[in-house]
Amino acid sequence: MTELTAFGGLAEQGWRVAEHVDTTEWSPALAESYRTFAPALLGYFRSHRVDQAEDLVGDVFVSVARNLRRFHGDPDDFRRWVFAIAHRRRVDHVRRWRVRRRVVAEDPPERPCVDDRRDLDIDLVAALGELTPRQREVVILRFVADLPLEDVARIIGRRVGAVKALQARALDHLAQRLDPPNATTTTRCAPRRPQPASAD
Amino acid sequence: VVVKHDDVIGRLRSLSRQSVDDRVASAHLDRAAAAAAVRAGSHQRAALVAAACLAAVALPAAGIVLARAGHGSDPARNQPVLPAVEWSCPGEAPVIAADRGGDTIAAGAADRQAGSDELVQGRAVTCPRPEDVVDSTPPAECLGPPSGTATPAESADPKAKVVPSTKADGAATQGGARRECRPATSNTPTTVTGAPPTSTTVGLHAPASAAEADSARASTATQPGPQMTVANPSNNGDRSADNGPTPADAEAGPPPGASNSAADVDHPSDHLPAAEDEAEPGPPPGVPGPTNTVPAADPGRDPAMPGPPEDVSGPPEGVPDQAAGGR
Repeated sequence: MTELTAFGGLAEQGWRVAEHVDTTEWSPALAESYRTFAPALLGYFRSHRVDQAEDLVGDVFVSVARNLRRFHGDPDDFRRWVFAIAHRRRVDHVRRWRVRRRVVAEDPPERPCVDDRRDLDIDLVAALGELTPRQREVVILRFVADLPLEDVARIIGRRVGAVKALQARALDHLAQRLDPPNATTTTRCAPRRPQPASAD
Repeated sequence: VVVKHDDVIGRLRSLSRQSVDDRVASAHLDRAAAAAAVRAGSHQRAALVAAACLAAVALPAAGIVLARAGHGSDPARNQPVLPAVEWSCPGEAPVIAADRGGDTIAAGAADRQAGSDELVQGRAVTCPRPEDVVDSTPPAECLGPPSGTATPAESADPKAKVVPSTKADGAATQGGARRECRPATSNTPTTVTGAPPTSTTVGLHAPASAAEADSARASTATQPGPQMTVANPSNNGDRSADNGPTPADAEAGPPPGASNSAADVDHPSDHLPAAEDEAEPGPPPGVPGPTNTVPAADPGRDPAMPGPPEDVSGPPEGVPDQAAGGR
């Protein structure tokens, strides 16, 4: 049975769901889960510097809505399920992006810096881009998605010890790369860079 | 200066607090709701199709199981179902020609022998006894003109002397051209009218035992046979002046409730006591009885025409009552 009522206390973002959304039996639970997980999902995709991060968030919730009746577990299981879907969507997106890049044979036009990324830590995202794909995936799932080591290991298909090692090396690199907290940032928008070389 | 791990982790956790536009959230939830509705509809359709297929397969199977187990509501259906072969009662029992696997020649022969024994046993239960079998071929006179227009040969029949004018006869003559033919078997009792069919086909429910078969035969034998009718209305009123009963009259069955023995119907004279028993005694000639009210009730009626069935216990006017004083 889906136990989504436990997510009620997690929705502190303040934005409301549109009133015209059908309030069927599952719709309130889906809206509540969206309020809970959409910000983290958006940060997950933006940390990976994925274009169309909002569209991927929508795709994730379409998958959640289609399979919500089959879900059984507690809120922790639901969180792991949602981010596992997000992980697969991101991998698929990167694969499609590679195909498109080969077809176009030139870099896409530069994307302008927009205000919706004002909550994004540009320096941190840039430092994450310097990690290996596996290290980046581990630290994003571990701290942005807020998943335990076991769930991260299950999603990426590695053992827990390997995940711990990847996490330690990623944190060391970020600590050396990032500036101190009181240092001023020079740019607001992340530099346009090609998509990660590998999906995982 | 190296940043501590906790600071890095804090900055990473701050990435999870991204703001989501309301319009984008609305669009996402609409998409999710539509997808869920489509999935729910497909699930319902799949469930309906699965239920229909299950019913289409399970219901006939359940019916077959119930029929074989004998749990049907109809008691007549609780009889065992005969094998799917035609049971020709006359002659030798047929041999089942169905393929039973054919492992070896000996096994096939044993199977065929078992099938033949089964058929013989079934025939003994379901087939009618020879004395009960009546030829269903209609007699020649049934194919000709109605018996009311008697042929000269019939008129000259010496057995047509006594013509009991029974109540049933009078009622039958009201029917006009209606006539029935009976199976022509001169040496067998014709009172048996409900003989079983001579051929039993697939799916018949045989009687459970020979006793049931006998009781079924007895019940059919006691049913009255069809009544003789005369098609010529002009002969209805004065059959005594006519040439008497036709051979078909002699073959007509007794009135309801009469005895089923062959001696009761073999000779036409034997009809008389039964006719006297059945017919209400009419009043003496010239004395209008309480039941002889046909002329008074219908003054404009032709006296030569017979009255309604309930009024013919006595003879019509001008016709001598042979049941009372004709002998």
